[in-house]
Amino acid sequence: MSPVLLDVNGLTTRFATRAGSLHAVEDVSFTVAEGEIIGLVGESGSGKSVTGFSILGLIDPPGRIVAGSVKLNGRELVGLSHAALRSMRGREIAMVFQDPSATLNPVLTIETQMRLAIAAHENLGDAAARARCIEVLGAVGIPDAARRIEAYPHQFSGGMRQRVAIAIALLNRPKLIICDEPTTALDVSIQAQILTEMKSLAARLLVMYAGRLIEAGPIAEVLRQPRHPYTRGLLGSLPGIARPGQDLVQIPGAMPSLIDLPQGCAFQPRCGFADALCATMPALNGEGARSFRCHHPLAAESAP
Amino acid sequence: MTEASTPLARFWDEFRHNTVAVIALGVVIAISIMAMAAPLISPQNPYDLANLVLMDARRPPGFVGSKGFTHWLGTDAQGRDLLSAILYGLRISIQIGLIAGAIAFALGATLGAFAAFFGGRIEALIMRIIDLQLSFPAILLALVLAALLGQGKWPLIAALVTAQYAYFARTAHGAASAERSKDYVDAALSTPLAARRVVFRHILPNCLPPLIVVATVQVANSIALEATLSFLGLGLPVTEPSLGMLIANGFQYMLSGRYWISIYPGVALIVLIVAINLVGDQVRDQLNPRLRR
Amino acid sequence: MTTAEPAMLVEVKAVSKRFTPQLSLGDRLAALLGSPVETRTVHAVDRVSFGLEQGEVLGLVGESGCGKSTLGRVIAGIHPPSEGRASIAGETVMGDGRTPLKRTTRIQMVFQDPFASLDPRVRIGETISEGPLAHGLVSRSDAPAYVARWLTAVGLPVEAAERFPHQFSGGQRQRVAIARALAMQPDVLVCDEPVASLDVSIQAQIINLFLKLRRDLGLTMLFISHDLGVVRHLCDRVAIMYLGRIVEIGPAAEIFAAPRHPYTRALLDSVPKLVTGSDELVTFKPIQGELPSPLSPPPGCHFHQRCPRAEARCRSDAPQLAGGADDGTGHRVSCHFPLAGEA
Repeated sequence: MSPVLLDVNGLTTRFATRAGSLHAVEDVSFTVAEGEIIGLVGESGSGKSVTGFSILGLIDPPGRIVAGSVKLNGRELVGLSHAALRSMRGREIAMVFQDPSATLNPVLTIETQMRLAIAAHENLGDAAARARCIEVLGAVGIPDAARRIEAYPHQFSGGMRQRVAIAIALLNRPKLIICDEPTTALDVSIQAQILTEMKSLAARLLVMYAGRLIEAGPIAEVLRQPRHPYTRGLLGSLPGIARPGQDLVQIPGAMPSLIDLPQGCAFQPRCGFADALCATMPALNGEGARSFRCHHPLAAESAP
Repeated sequence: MTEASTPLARFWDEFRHNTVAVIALGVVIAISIMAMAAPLISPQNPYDLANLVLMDARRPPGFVGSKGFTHWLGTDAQGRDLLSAILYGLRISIQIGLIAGAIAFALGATLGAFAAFFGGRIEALIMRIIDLQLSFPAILLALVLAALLGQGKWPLIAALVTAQYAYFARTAHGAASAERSKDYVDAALSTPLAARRVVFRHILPNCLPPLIVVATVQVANSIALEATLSFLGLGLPVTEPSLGMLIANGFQYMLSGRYWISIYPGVALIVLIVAINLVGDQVRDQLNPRLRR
Repeated sequence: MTTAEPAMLVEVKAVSKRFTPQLSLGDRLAALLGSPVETRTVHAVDRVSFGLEQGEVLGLVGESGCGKSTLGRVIAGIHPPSEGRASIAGETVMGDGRTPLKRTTRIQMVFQDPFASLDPRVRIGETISEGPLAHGLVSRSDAPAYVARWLTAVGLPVEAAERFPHQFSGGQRQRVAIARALAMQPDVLVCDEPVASLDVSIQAQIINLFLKLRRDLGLTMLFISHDLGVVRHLCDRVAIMYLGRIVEIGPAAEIFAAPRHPYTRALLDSVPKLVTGSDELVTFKPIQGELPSPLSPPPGCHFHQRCPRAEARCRSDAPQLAGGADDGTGHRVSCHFPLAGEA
């Protein structure tokens, strides 16, 4: 087993709103080993993006990390000053966002933006910096990188812009890259290209619901034998798996408001297995490599 | 399904945090009520010439007139009680400002929204005329029109409307162009609904926020513009003095020390306009999403 | 010309839609004075023809920018076609006068983003009833009951009529948008990516609603989507669009099992698939290259630059949508060198 790179423990992030405290992330703990790829899935409002932002220290008021720790190579990140976080971002942790056109500056050339990203952490000579940029652009599959580096973002297509954003994230050779829905805004065929560029998909899957981790485990096992009713419902909702024309397995209702969560398990009002016990919050129980937060987990042998 | 409160209630909730704007709103409301109730609360009817005592003319504030009541703000050259004249003058000024503002709003918003809705040549024609008009100062246009149409309430309103509808049309056009490209308009077109209904029921209500901002500013402007025209003698007849004319009438006595004839109507005018603008500023801050954080 | 096609409820004949940005006054003056002015015309839809049979669901698939949404809007009568004609039961959807107007109410549309397609200042009840009232489908006194009926049909509580859109979640709003379209009692529903902006669990609810409405009302639907899984689940037939043209059309089962156009094949292969049986969990194969700009589509077959089977002829000669009529399924493909149709 590779050494642990990122250790998130009891992370809790809340936002103060006029209507009350919004519990975006509650008591989330997981680790990422060096070289490991973790998939964090959930619907909108599940807290997956806020988890990413919290790790990077990008939570601004009215949001606040109220509890928990985030350790990168053993160094605590929660509570670091803005300056310390800034010097760490890009060099040790980088982020790729959903919408590449929002992350790239439209009035600067790709080269200028990449050189600025390098200059923030390192003092490279002109030639060396340019060579690094071209090398990284080539590595993410941008053809003719030496010429295209002088272009502006609008001269690239959506897929190419996302490659540039990934290239910028890779520039300072960070140890950890957080990708927030990097392919959602792209077309199917471009999605596939980007995913190929990222070499492989996740090995371990974390499922979030209403701010909490509710299931985790090796991806193949989670997909084949989900233990949490929500995970199974989510898989059943995918039209690719059901027989054409047949009703999809649907989860009734919608995600609860994060300001006004139900008592106990947040999934309880939508769950077919819920009973009186579910009014208390279940713990995240482990079972080998798997863990799940449910009083009535699905049997280990039930197939989806 | 949260926030069952109405948009207006939420608006007020935010508005009341700005103390200055709340005070200004109070001033606007107080002045409006006093102006509306002028016939009931003012000591004298300044329009009734038979009521005026020439002997009491140009008396300073606090003078007790021959009719037995105190002229708290003094009297003017005709022996009119200034307090009464200011209240009646405010009444006319506010009335004309509101009527002119409302007509300019309706005309300008309709033109701008239809221009944006239809696009093409109709849009080009309407918007070029409006651009042309915006390139002249409003005061110049109003002066020319007031001179052409003569004196009286309606010619004055017509002049004010002509000078101001273009601002509403510009704003409505900009807002409506943005709304025009939204899916709910396409949904209405695919139903299909008549153009009139799409514009008046769907597009215009969604253009209201910026139009309301323009409206508050423009009502203040039309009051000021009306005062200016009246001051120049192009407004209402002498028998029904508005604030502008009161100021003009007192102007010649300024140097002889009878400051009150001009100053008090001027103060009333300034307080009203500043108060409306303060309210307008807050409304703009709240309705302009770009200024929101 | 293909022969002996069954009578179609909706007919789309050689429809083209071009967008030419309006020239500024300066450009027009320059053109008047004889200087060459660059007009950048986008051929969003290029001579597309197909039909919709009564009661069928046709999926229109393609990547963004391929013209599928524009085609949907032409058929729904929001944009007039630049050329050609879309008609329902013989009646042209949009008259071709100087100011073209949609008159028929028999085609209605559901949009992608339910946050944008509902007027935020209009109550749900009025949103649903205003069209039927304007067209005399219901009297003012019967309107509340009529609204309640359609709210129930899409699975919303009757009290929703009194609320505003912002009081609902995305999935609920999409139900309102569907109720609005259905209240016009259309024969045909054009759905433009109606589940794309919804979360997965909500998507399933809306897809099930479409399945139910189809069973209950016998609706004919044009279902526009980039999501192949959704299309496969809902549609009887599928049309694949690439840069403004239909490159393949045929029964859904056949197209998904044995695509004949290289683009269709590539599109199917590019979707990451969960293979729950094997050890390699996810398989996919990206298409090479990028979608060319619709401002200057390549000559000949639009796909030739990215196509593994392209030959010299493909670069000059645009293939026609043809063939396959002999097998009786109406599976047609626009390719000089179609795939054999092996699974």
